[in-house]
Amino acid sequence: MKTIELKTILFSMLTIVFFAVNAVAQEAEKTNVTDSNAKGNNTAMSAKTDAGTATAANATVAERLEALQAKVEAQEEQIKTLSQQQQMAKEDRDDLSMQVMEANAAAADEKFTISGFLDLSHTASFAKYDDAITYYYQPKYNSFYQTGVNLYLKSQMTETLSALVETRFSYSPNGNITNKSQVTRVDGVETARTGDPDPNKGFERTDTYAKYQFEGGTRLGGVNIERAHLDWKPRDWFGIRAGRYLTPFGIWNEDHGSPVVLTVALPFLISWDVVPTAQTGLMVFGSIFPTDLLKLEYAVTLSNGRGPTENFFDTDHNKAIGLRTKIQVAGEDWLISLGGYGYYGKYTDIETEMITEYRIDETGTQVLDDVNYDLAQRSNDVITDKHKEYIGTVDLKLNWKGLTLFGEAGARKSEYLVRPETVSYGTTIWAADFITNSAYGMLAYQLPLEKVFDTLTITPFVGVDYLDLSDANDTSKFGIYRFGINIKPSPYVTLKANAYRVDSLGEGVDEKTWFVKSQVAVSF
Amino acid sequence: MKLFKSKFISGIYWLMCSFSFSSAMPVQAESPDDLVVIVNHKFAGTELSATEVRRIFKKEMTTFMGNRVKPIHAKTGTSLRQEFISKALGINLAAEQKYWQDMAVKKGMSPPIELSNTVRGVFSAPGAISYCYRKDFNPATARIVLEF
Repeated sequence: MKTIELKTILFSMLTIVFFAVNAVAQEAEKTNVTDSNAKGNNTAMSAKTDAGTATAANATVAERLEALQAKVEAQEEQIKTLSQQQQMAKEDRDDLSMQVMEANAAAADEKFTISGFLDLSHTASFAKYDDAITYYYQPKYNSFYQTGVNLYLKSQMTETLSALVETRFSYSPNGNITNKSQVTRVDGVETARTGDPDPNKGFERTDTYAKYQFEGGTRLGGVNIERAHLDWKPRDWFGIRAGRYLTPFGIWNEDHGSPVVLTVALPFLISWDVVPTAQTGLMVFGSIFPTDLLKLEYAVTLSNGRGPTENFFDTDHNKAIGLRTKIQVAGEDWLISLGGYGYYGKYTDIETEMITEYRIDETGTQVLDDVNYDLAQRSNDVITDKHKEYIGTVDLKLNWKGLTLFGEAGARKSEYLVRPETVSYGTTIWAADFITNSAYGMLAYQLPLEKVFDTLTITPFVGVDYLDLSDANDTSKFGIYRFGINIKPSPYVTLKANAYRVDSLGEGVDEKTWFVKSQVAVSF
Repeated sequence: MKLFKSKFISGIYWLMCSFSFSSAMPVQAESPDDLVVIVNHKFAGTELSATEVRRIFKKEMTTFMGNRVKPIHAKTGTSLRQEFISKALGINLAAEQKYWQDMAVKKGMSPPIELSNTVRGVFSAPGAISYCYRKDFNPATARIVLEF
């Protein structure tokens, strides 16, 4: 029993050991498997980790690429912007160049200019008498006429220095009537025949016909220097003018161009040279603006005065002086202007001759007389006419909206120092002192058409004009009543039509002659 | 004292009222399309009257405070030029042309130079005076001396 029990115990113990060993083995195997699994897992983990690392690396590159791409895009954008800016800068530079060129061209345009004007007129007259005395002074026949072409050259050399030349190309002197006959009759019998202005000559007209060498020919014209002067004007209130200049008097004389003045025919004050229209010498001038409304102008003239050659040479030592003052008050649509000019000078006409003194010497020979004369040969000026001229003018202009009232009056007193003499039929006549008076007034209204027409202006006008050529002569008084219209279809063209009646106001010459004149004037 | 106090308070009240009233007064607002007259920085004078501007652009006035002035116009036909001569000279383009044609005959004068960019013109020339719209104005390049 005890043996069985022992065996049983042993067997049980062996079984337990077996199972234990088996279990251990199994456990060990399990452990191996687990290890290997673990190893595998580790490998997998390791692989997994490697794969993660790779993924991360891939992601960085992509980001970098993206960043790079973004950077490239940004740079491209920047390049595009820069390119645009460059283009703009280029355009800007081109624009600047254009500006400079444009400014230079504009400055050049302002620096030197050529302009001018011309006109064509027509005249017709209607007199009660075909032999009216008016025709001695005014044109008789229905005619087109053209007085010439005025050309201006203006240069602004520096800011203060400028020059202006105005020349008039004309058909003159061809056709100029230089002397007219004057016949005196008593009881129908001619008692005297003289000439005007030369009493010893009859009718004379200049003919400038020049024959060509072989066939035909042409009538020559002339060039008149209306004004040619240098201006130095450092300030508005002070300028000096040197050369030949328009006398700064009144309204008409400085306006003077046919496209600017209102009527076809000039007022007597201008056409009869009551005041010298131009002078050669110096002028100091200027204007000041004390207030927004007020403008004051002045001019002092010093010139050769009037004379037979005064435009380029004087025939006496005396210089003519003149003073111009003008006050102008102007608002937005109104203006009042009042001016005056005073002038004093001497007119001298001379004939220069040479005198040679001889004596008969001891041998009977004619020799220069240097014994009795310091200068055996000398010059001598024979004064044929010398007179003082006192001239005064006033001018007034009132303007309110389109309505303008303006006028001028002038008087000249001629006082002889050497009286020119005229001999007629053996009788010597000396010129008497005389006074010339003239005045005109005009009323004009520019129709308010600016809202209807951009460029067209229409200005009807009426006016009166008076001339007393000499208070020593009762037959030389004239009055004019005029009316007409001035039309400007463009700033460059002026059309005029006016009618006027000339009344001879002298004793025994009570005549009234109508004239109709029209004109087209162009400025360019 | 009481009376003085009440008068004082009443005075303050009226002052405030008048201030608030004046504050409520309409003030002309600046618009980019305003026309302004501009000058070069070296131009003498800080402001000009409308009459002075008119005289300068008609070349009646060629110096200002002892210095030469150079008027510069915008190109003919531009709205800027048209607006300026209408406001400053009180005439239209045709009347302006007529004025200069007349001045050419009377005095041999020519109109001011014309530039397409008046601001640049003013910037580059001492004594220059011109005009532009406010939106085109640059304080670095010019000074405003008159506003329309």
